[in-house]
Amino acid sequence: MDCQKIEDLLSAYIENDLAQQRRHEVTRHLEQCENCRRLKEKMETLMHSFPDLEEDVPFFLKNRLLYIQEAQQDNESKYYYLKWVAAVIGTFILFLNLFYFTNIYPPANRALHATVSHIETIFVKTEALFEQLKESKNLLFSSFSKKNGGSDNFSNNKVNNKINKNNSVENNGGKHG
Amino acid sequence: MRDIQDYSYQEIAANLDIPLGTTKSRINRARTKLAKIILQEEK
Repeated sequence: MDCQKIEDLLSAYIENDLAQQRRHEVTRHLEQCENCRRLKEKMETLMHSFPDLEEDVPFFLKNRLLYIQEAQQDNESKYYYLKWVAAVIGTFILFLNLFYFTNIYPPANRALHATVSHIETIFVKTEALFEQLKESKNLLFSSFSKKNGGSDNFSNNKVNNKINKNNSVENNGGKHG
Repeated sequence: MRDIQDYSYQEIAANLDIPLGTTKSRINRARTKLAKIILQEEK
């Protein structure tokens, strides 16, 4: 076996981590090769003298060194920027609440309250529209059944006028926007 | 981690999130390199 191969096996050899066959091969080589023997002995010396070198590492430094790896992985995670987006949105909502419920910055307070009123009116109008549509639908069905059954022109006219009136109001309201 | 703090190969591999074989070969390479440097210094 050549010296390069022996070098790769020395660590395992010293720690008794080699299969028997391999171990014999290395032993034989070491008996014959002075360079490798010297190398092996130096490695052994170093490995056994290292424990005496241990210093007390400050607690904070130790932890930071251990968790550098974790931090790097965190940066590479594809959800990393999602955390920032959530943080920004959260802060934004926080400020909205702050300005809405306090008068720290009156212009913002006014603007927010105005916006909320605007949204409220939109809701109310939509509600009214749905109500109308429901009524129209009912009237349509009932007028069909009355045509087939009896005739009740009076009530039909009355209701049709009501619908027209509502529609014209709706159009006028639309103009102001 | 291995010679000074006496971690096992498994512990090192888990801590650094690298395969077991990689830790062994890296430690081996470091040891031989260090030993060679010191032998060179001593000449």
